[in-house]
Order: sequence, then structure tokens, then C-alpha cells
Amino acid sequence: MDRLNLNRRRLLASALPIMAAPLLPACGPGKPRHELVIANWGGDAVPAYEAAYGEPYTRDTGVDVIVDGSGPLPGRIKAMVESGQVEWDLCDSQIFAAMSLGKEGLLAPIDYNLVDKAKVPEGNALPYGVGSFTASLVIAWNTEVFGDNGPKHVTDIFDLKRFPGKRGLYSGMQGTAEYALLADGVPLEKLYPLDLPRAVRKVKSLGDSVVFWSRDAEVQRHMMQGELALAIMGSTRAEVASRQSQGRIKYSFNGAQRHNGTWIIPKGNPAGAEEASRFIASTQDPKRQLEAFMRLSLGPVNPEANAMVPPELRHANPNDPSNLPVQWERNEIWYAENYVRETARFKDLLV
Amino acid sequence: MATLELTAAPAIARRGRAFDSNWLLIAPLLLGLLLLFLLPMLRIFTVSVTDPVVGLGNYQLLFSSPSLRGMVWTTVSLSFTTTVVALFLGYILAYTMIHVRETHQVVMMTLLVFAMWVSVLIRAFSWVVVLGDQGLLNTWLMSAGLIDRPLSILFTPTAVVIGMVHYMIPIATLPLFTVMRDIDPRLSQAARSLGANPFVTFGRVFFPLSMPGLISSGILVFIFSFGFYITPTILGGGRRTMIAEYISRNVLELPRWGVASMCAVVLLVVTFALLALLGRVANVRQMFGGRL
Repeated sequence: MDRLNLNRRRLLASALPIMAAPLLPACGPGKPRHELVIANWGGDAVPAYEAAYGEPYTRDTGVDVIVDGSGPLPGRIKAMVESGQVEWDLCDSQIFAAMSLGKEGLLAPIDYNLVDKAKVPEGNALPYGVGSFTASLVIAWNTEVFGDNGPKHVTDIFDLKRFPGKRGLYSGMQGTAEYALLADGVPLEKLYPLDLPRAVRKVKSLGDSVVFWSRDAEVQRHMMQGELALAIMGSTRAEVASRQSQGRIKYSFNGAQRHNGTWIIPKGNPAGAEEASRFIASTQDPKRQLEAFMRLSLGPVNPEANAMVPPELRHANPNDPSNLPVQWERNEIWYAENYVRETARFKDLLV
Repeated sequence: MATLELTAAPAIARRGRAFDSNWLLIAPLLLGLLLLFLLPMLRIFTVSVTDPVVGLGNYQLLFSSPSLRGMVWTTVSLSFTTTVVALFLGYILAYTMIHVRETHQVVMMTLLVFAMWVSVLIRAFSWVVVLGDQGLLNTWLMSAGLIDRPLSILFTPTAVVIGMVHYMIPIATLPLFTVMRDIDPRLSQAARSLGANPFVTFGRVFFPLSMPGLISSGILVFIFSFGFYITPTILGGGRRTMIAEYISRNVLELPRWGVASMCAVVLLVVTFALLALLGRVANVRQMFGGRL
């Protein structure tokens, strides 16, 4: 005590700034926060979003862009908005979620004075969401296991005889239920409403060879490590895994379900809805979308960007004219109306 | 003890017997617990009986929904298996520790406690590396010519049990060690001198005396296993879910907070019930090496 010479007055004096710190922002003039937080699904998507969208935006506006890869699950958005503790300004979501979360009053409307409706495909300019990229749920496989005789169609994931080994399926309905029904003989035009008990019976016929994944980064890692022989996974991650494994992992768009990622703004986001819309507008720049495609194989939504894809990479673009005819589009309206109830039912049936 | 009471006495006398000023010291902690722990807990309970509709509907699901019954069964059976295996291994470890030289004992204890400090996440991912189809175990077994195709362990309940047992061994061993250390070695010697062979000595003398440790370790490990989240999620492959993962899914993915809150309340009640049981059969303070 003596050596420190810490009497009560000194101690109080030194503690004062600490005690006053929480009050400081309140006394200064109301300065806007110069930072935008974007929530996406992690792994390679973090540096890709930073480079393609974040850094150019910071250069243009001086606003720092932070990418949080912890996954903007609907439950987390709901918890944040309802508790008034919103941490994210923008989330990488999906069309049906933009519809249903918007209807629940959890999202801020998109400002179409800033965002250009003409730069997204039809049906992608929603009151509470804007299309951000295209991805498909493709079938990917390990060529060390299957050689040149890999799967030819997404429904091959259900063919245990020809394609034995552990296989990855998404733990929710998307892709898993549809492909199960297609494999079971349901025609494409009669898929919706999804017959979940039938789909689950088909999934269960695979027994212990199924591994359910919940995150893109998760199935990507399992494929890279060779823990899965084949998997249904996002085309974005399949392409990245294929590049990183020098072609050991291959994938096919044949029969794949196509869907568009969507920007959504949680209601009460820290930087304000206008700033968030301004950022969305900046991501409509074809050069930036091309950069996102080059890094993470995010299929561009802006038609101008699709035209700019170099020929040697066209095979990886879900929107490429050669890939479009073999794919089909998810019924977003059915999902928007039924997602929560039917996903709960699907997961309950699966257990 | 006596000196402490003597010095504390005048303070109590001054402020009056009704109020012990020592409570003031922990008042911030109690207040914090009330605000940050008890109130939110009350809210969780409220959600469990009000979301989506008021009533006990969520609790009814526990009996009526096959998937919830399946989840509960998975949780109970995996926790039980983990407990049995961890107790068996922990018993051997504790038994060895009380019989080796003191320097060895210190080394073993250090390693055991050290293992507890390694992040549970890192341990779970390490098991992925070991147990995978292309993992260490399968690679070794295949290169040794013992198997032709990889054993399918990862993403099965077996992998979950292995991962959980690994985590639980220190928790099982320490209470057992404390109880065994206090068993008078002369009792076993006496049994031997009266003609009992080593097996009878162990079975009739040592084992019954170590029973309190076995029971308290067992309850403790079961409590930890019951609410385990990370290891089952990473090693389980998502086919069979335990209660903690089920809660997380219902909170984050669906969101179906009524069911999630109901499961959280069930988890809490089971844990408290087991703790109460533990309090009846064992001296909790002594279990962790504290002396009265």
C-alpha cells in the first residue's frame, strides 16, 4: 500500500473516468455510428463479403463494414428485434424468410429510392427484402470414392446401392424434402405442398448413412476432410470446395433447386434503415457482384454481372444459360406461408 | 473458528442481532443473481406455459409427441451409457491413484486437472479428427491390415458417448478419489490377514466403502451429461438429438420458443432433482475435497 501510495482520494480520482465512461456518449452531440454490421453464414463467406462488398463501400463512404459469420437464423433476428438489442444492420437471408419475417413486423422496409428494382430478377424486389445472389442445392461428391462414375442427378443421393457411403443432407426441408420426393417418384410440378411424411420415409430409408448439416461451412468442411462421400450442398460452397481440393470434389447442377439469397434489414438496426439500403444499392454494382462470384461463386442477380462472368467460370454460375434448363426454382410462396410450422413438423418426423 | 467468532461478535452487537452486516458483502451478488438469473428464468417458465397459447400444451407434447419422446429417450440413454462408462474408467483411475507413490499421484492429478482445462470445443473437434472415416483411428487400423473399410464411428451415438466420456472422466474420478483416499487401508490389510483373497477383499471391504463416491460421481456425471450441448452436436451427425441441441434448434432455427422453454424447464427440474438426491446421499463439500 505504501509503495503504491494509493490513498482514498487518489483511488477515487483514478476510478472516476471509469465510472463516468458509460455516460460519455450521452453528453456528446448525437454522432451517427460509422459502421455497418452484416450477418452471414461464416467460413469463406466472411472474407468474400469483406472483399467484394465491404471494402469498396468503406472506400466510397468511410463507413466501416464488419462481417459477422455467426448465422442470421430467424430465431436470432426475432430475439434481437423483440428485445430491442439489434446488432445487425443487414442479414444474408432468403426470399421466403424476407416475406414471413416482414409480415411478422421484424424487418425494416427497403428504400427503393436508393435500391434499383431493375437490377434484380422479377420477384426479387420485395417490400422487406432484395435479391442478393443466386445459389442452387447441388449434388457434390468425392471423386476418390466414385472415380468417374459419380452421381448424375441430385436424386442419386438416395441411391445407396450405386453410391454407398456417408452422405450429407441439409437438416431442414429445403432440398432434403424435395429431392426425397423426386427420388420417390413425385413429379416436379406436383412437389408443393410438400408431402412431408413421404419425404421423411424416403430420408429414413438411408438409415445411418445420413449426416445432417445445418451450416454451409459445416458440410464444406466435412467434404474437404473426406468425411462425406457425397452431399447435397450449396453450389457456392461446392465450387469453393472443388477449387480448394483441386478437383477431388466434383458437383453437378443436374436437377438442382435454385433459390436467391436476399438482403434483409432487421427493424431498429443500429446504423439505420437508410444506411442499410444505401449499402444494398452499392452491392448491385455488377463489378462487385462479379467479385463475389469469383470469390464465393455467388451467382450474380444483376443481369449485367452475369454477362461479365469469364467463359472458364461459367460452369459454376447457377444463372448461366447452360445451367438454367437443368434446374428448377423453389416455391418461395409456399415456404413463406408454411416454413415454421412445416419445418417443425419435418424435424419432429425425422427424430 | 473460535477466533473468527470472537472478532465478528462486537460488530454484530453494535448493529443489533437482527442484521448480520456480512450479508451486505454479498448483497450485490445476490441482487445480480436475482436480476440476471432468477427473473429471466421466471420469464422462461412463463413462455413455456403461454407460447403459442396459454396452458400446459407444451408439457403435454412430452408425452404425446413421438419425436419429443424419442429425444428424451436419446438424452436419457446416452447420458446413462456415458455415466456407466465414465464411472468404470474413473474408478480404475482413482483406484490406481490412491495406490501409487505420491509423486506419481501428483503427476496423475495434474494431468487429470489439465485435461479439464482444454476447451470442450477443441476436444470435440479432435475426436472428429480421430474417429472420422479418413481419421487417425481408421487410417491406423487399415494400414495395420485389421480392417478393409473404415469403421463407421463418427456421426453415430458411439462417437457421442466417446466424446462425452472423455469429458466426464475427470468429473467422475475426483469425487471417487476423495472418497477412496479416506478409506482406511488397514481395513483391507485386516481382511487379507484374516484369510480373504484379493478379490474378496475388494468386493466385500473396499468396494462397499467406496460406494458413496460411486453414487455421487454417478449423479454428478449424469447431471453434466444430461444437459451436454457441444459434444453431441459436433459428433452426433444430427440424426438423434439430445435435449440441449433440441432446445437450441427450437430457439434459433424455427423459432418455437414455447417448446424450447418447456424443455429448458424440464432440464432444470431434472438437474435440481438430481442435485437434491446428491445432497441426500453425499456430502457435497467433502466430495470436492473440502474439509469441514
